[in-house]
Amino acid sequence: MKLLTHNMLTSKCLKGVTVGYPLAIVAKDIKVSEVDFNSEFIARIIPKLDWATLWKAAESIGHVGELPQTLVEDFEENEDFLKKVHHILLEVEVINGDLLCPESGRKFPINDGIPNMLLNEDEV
Amino acid sequence: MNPAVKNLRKQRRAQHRLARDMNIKCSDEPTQCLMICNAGLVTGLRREDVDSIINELVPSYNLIMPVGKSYCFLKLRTKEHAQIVFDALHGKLKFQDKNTPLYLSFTETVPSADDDLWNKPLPPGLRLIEEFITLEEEDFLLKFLDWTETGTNPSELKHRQVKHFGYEFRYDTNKVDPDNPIAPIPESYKFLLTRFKEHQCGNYDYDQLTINRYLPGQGIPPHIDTHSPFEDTILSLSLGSPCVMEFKRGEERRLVFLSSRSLLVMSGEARYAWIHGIVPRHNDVIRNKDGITVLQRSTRTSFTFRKLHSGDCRCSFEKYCDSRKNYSSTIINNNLASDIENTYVHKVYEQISDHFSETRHKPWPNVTKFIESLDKGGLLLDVGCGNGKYLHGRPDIFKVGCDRSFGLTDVCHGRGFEVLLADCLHIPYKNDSLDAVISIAVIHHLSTIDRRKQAISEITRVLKPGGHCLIYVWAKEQKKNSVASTYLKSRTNEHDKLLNDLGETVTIEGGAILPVHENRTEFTHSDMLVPWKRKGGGNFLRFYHVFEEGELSSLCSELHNVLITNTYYDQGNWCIILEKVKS
Repeated sequence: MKLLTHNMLTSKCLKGVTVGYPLAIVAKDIKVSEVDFNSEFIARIIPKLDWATLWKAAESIGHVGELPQTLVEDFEENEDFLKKVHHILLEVEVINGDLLCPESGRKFPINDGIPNMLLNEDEV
Repeated sequence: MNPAVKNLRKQRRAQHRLARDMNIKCSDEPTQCLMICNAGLVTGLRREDVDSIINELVPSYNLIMPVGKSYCFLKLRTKEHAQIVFDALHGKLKFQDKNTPLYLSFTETVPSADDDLWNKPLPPGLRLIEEFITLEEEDFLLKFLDWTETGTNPSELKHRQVKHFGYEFRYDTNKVDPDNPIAPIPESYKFLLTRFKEHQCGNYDYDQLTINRYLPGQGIPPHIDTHSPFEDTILSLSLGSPCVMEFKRGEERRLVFLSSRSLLVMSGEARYAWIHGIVPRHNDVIRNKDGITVLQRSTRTSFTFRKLHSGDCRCSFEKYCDSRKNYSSTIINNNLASDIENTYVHKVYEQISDHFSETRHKPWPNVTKFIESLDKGGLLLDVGCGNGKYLHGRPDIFKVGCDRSFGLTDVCHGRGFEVLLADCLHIPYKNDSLDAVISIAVIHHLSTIDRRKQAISEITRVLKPGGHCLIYVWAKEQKKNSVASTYLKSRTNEHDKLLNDLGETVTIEGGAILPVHENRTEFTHSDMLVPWKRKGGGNFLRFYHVFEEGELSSLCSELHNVLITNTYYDQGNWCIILEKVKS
């Protein structure tokens, strides 16, 4: 699971959970691999992000690096910044661990890079 | 945008749609033929509305309103007349409190009036007696009815309000319990029973009455009344608003206009083998002396009279008969639905995931086209992504797949795709978070209409306002304009044909019986099990609900936050593109 995916995930489908966002991450294995950088693509993705969630997620898995806690202005031209965002969004992947519902504590296991978001019938 | 440019654009879009739908070409030069591109029977346009305007402009013309379309045609006497109408209406005239003006286009031809459905004879065994009761009697029957009283157990069905006399009709089993009579048919209705005899409407005293009240927008799903609990003849008296009832048997389709105070007598083939239903909508397309037009519905009350029957049914329509072993009953409730999907969808996909993945390489061109049309930097989710065949390509958008199958999500991750295990009924995404969603050949695996609707509503929930989704489902119609789909064409040998209609069924825990479909043949049922042969051995059955024409759009039109951008038929599938208009 990449952090870009995590940025949009919620556990709100659980019975009794209203927002279910953001999910906490407990990472056991993390893989970092190289992905082609496309500055225009990243610049277009950034406005769609919940920045605070991204920063917190990056920090919680120990990969926040020099990523600023608040989004910088005029990032479109700031290649250095875009590369950092590219790295945290697409190159860092949680392979094994858990996602946690912030309201109920329900665990969603991540196995071999795939978060299991399936719910039991009595949970919905 | 400049209004002229906007009109031109809309005109172009409609022209493409038309060429595809009706094989009619638009013309840049004036002709005698005009199309009104954005008003037709589907948008509630009435013949009278058009007449009142065009009559002011030109002396005579023909108005052709194709059924089920959001456009209509005018055939004028001369090109000059057509030009006059075009100039007066195009981009100027607003209709029916709509904000956008009509836009028009010249066409090379107009379709022939599509009124076959009304001209055909009624299904065998069906009789309609107009003015069966008087206005006073109608008035009396409606006044006598009290929907507020308790005791006779009026119940609110999802689609209408009902009340029973004699015996309660059970919607879970589609039968009555003969050992549990309830309040009998009231004395004051007895004059009807006498009149039924006078009109030779079955030689018995009807002892079960169901009264339905339909508000505009309500209907009754297509069905055949269960054979064995009732005698041959079933009667339906219409009070209040008229409406159109649809009858279907195989490819045969008839529309029957039920006028106020008319009595519908269903017996023989019409009773035992034809499916009948009322489409839930606010208006009906009808044919009057001038042609086809639209009639607004108001409250309609129907009295359905049945006579209880004991023992097996002795009809000669085995395929539809609950007393024969090949009968397939597909009453699926919500508890049963998840069992069916677990056994006949989820488990099967786990077992066949390797082989399934090997046989699913080639993306469908129109799905690829949709993905190609997305803006750079977009976020795309593929709901029910299978082996991830649509997650290839477009490195300038972020694509995520989700699927219920562990096997298939593993295949996807192994190919380097971003993927989640998730169910289409509960998509684990925030509201309004994605630019586009696709769901290809997924929703037909859901076994009730509520679940299919929930899946579509989940898809649109996670979509951003302004975002689009593309949905493909398997079509019941595997032949369109006499062309067989690839599914039918890939039938391997003629011998298979002989195996068809064996009528094999599977009884599912909980009592429902599902037919097993013969592969590479046309569908005879809407809900069924379709066999999958695994290379190297193993036969599996997967549950499918195949969609009839119009079914997908009618499901989507119940959602209030989307607009239907396009619907089309693609190689045996019904397809729809929706735009989310508000969160």
